[in-house]
Amino acid sequence: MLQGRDIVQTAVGNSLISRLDPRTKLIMLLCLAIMVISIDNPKLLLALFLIPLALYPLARLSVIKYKILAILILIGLWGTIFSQALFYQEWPRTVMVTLIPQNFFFLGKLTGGVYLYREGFVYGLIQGLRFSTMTAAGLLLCWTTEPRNILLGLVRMGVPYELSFMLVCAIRFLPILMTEVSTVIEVQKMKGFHPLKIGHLTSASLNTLTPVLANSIRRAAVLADSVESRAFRAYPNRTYRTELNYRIIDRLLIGLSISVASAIPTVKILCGLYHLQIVYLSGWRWLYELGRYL
Amino acid sequence: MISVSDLTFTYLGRNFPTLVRINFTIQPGEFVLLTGPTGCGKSTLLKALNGLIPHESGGWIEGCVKVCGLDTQKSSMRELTQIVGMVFQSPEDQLFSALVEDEVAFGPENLCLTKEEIELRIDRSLAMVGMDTMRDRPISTLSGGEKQRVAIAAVLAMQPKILLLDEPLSQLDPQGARQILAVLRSLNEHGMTIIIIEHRLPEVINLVSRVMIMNNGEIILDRPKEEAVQQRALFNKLGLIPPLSPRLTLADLPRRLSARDTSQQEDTSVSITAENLWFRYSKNSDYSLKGVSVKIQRGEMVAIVGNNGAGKSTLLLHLAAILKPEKGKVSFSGNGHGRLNPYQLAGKVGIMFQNSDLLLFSSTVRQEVEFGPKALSFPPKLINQIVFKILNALNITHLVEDIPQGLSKGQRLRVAAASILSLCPELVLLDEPTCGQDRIHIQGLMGYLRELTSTGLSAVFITHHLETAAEYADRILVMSEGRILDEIRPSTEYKNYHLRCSQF
Repeated sequence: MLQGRDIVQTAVGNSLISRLDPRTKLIMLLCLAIMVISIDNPKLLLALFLIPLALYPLARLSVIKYKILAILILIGLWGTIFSQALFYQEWPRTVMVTLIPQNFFFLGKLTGGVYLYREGFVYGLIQGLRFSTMTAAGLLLCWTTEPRNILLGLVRMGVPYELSFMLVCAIRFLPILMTEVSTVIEVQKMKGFHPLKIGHLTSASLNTLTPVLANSIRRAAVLADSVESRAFRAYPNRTYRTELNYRIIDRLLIGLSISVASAIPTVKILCGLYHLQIVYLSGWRWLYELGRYL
Repeated sequence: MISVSDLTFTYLGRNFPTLVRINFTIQPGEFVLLTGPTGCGKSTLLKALNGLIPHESGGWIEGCVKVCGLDTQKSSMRELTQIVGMVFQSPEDQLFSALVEDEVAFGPENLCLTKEEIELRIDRSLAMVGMDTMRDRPISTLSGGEKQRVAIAAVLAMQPKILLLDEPLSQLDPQGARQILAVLRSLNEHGMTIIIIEHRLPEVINLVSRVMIMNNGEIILDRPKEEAVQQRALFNKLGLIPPLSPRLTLADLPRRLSARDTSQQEDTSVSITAENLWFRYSKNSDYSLKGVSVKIQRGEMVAIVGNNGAGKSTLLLHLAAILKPEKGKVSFSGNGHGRLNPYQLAGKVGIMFQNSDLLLFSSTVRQEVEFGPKALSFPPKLINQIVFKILNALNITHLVEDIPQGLSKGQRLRVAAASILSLCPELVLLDEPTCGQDRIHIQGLMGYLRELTSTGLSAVFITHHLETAAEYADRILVMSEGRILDEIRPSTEYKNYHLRCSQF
C-alpha cells in the first residue's frame, strides 16, 4: 500500500548519485529543464527521458520508489497524450481513431463526432515526455538528497534562505497534505457522496480543498511561530553545520550539462535567425542541418 | 524573572480584547500551570511572554511585559529567543527537519554560533531530554513522545532561561506524556523557570508550584498549588478536570471478562464482527494488526486504549472498510466487508477521524449537518427533523449560519460529530475524540453518544483518556503491538466519573 510519505521520503544511502554535490544535481535538473523545453523532436525527447531513468539503478533505490515513479509517469503520459489527441484543434489534423462517428444517434450530431487525432497524439507525446523527464529527474534529486543539503545547495547557488527554507518545508509537509486529501475523500464517501464520480468533480474538489487548506493555514501558523521562536532570520546570515564540496565528477557533470544545455537553444536560435532571413552564414549549414533535428 | 503589568491585547479584526488587564510576576525557578477553558486566551498570553506578540502577530497591545529585565515590545526577537523558549502542542506541526540533529541545530545556526558550539549544544540539549542516542535518527521514525522531546531539545539548544509549553501533552499517549513530564521535572530541578498550559491537570499538578486560571482573557485565580487545588467549585464551573481527581490505571479496573470469553459469546444482535485480522502497510513493515478479532453488539459502546502504534486506528479503519485486511474478514450486520467500500457503508457506519476538522467542508453549519442526509436522499422533512434534533442535542443551534472552519476547536468537534450522526448510522467510529478537548466538550459529545446507544447505535472510540473510557464504555479493549491484549468491563462505579471528580 502506497503512503504519502513514501513519495518524498529520502533514501539517500551511499550510492554514486547520492554522493554527488546537491548543487550538481540542481544544476543538472535546471539544464535538463532547458533541454526539454528547447527540443521538439519526440525521438530526442525520448532519449532525454532515458537519461534520468538510466541513473536510477546507480541510485540503488527500493522497489517502492520505482512503483511510485512508474505510476506518476504512466498517469502523466496517458493523461497528456489522450487529452491532446482528443482535443487537438489545430489544422491539418488526421483522424487516427473514431470514438463517436458523426452519424451516431444524437451524440454524433451533438458533438460533431469524437475522434483521436494523430497530430494531437504526437503533440501530447512531446508534452508527456517533457513532463516525464522532469518528474523522473526531480524525484531522483529528492530521493537521493537530504533536505538539509537541498536547502544548503540552493543557498550556495544564491537562492535567498527564506525561499529555500519554504521549498524544503513544502517537501516536508507534502506527505501530510496527501494523507489529508485521501482522508477527506474517504469522509465524503462515508457521508454518501462519491467524490470520484464525473458529475461530482467540481464540488468534490471544493469539498476536499476547504478542510485541507484550512488545516494547512493552521499548520503554517504553528510552524511560523515555532521557527520565529528559534531566531529565524535573526541575522542576515546564519551558520551551516555542513559544508558542500565539489569533486572532480561534479565539475565534469556540471560542465557537460551546461555545455549541452546552452548549445541546444543556441542552435535553435541560429536556425530561427536563418529561417527569418536575418542571419545566414554558409559555414553554419551543418548547424542549420542539426537544428532541423532538434 | 517575568513581570506582566496591565497587559491588554486585541487581535486585528476583533472587537474585543483577548487579554484583559493581566498582572503577575514569576520568580526564577517557578513551575507554573496556566489553565482555563478553550479560547480563554492562554496561548495568546504565552505568545506575549516570548515576544511573538507583538513582533510577529498584528494587534493592539497595552501594558508591559518584561522578561529578565527586557521589555518584550522594545527588544528584538533575536534577544528574546535566547531568554524565552516555546514548545507547541503538535510535534508534527513544529518539526520540519528530516533528522533529529538538524532540528536541534536550527536555532543555534540562526544565531550564527560557531560549528563547535552548535555541536556542543546539540549534544547537551539532547542529553537533557534523554534523546542523546537518537541524534542521527529520522524524525519520521520517532513516536509522539520522542518527537515532543525533540521539540523541547530544539528549544533548549537556544539556552533559554524560561520554557513555555502550550499543551505539550494533548496529543500524546500516556507513555509519551510520562516521558515529557519526567523531562520537565528534571529541567525545573536544574533551575529552569517553566510555564505550562495543560488540560490534563491531574497529570501535571504534582510537578507545579503555582496555578493560574484564566477565563475570558482575565486571570481569575493565581495561587500556590496547595491553595489552588482546593478550588474545586471553580474547576468544575469552568469545565476543567479538578487536579486532585483520581487517576485511573488499567490495574485499577477489574477484569470481568477476558478476550476469549467474549469471542465465545453467542449473541444475535451483533453490529460488526472482525475475525482474525492481519494487516501491514507495506511488505517491508511489521504487521500493524496481528490476528485481531472483535465483536461489537448493537447498542454497545466500546473503547480502545493503548499506546501509539498499538494498531488502534488501523483497526478502526478496517471496521469502516477503508482498509482491507491481508488475512481475516470484517462483517457488518452479517455481510462481509470484502466487497464493500466506505461509500456503500454510508449511512450505516460513520467515522470521525482524529483530526475532526477534515470532516468540515461546507459553507455553514446547517449545510454541513445536512450534507450526508441530502447525499443519501433522505426526505426533506426528515432532514429538518434530524438536523434540528442533533443541533439541539450537541448545543450548536446558535451556530447554524456560521462557517464550520471558523469555529472554536470544541465547536468544530461538535459540528463534525453532528455531520456524522445526522446520517443516523448504526455504528459510529471515533478516533481520539477527546484529544485536546476540555471536559465540557468531552462530556457533551460522549454523553450524547451514550444516550443514542439506548436507541441501538453502537459506538467504538479510541482514547488515551482512561477515565473517559471507564465512564462511557461498556467494554474497554486494551491493544498493544497489533494485538488485543485484554478486555475490561468497567464496573458501574466509574460510570459517573465526572460527578465523582467534582468531589475531589
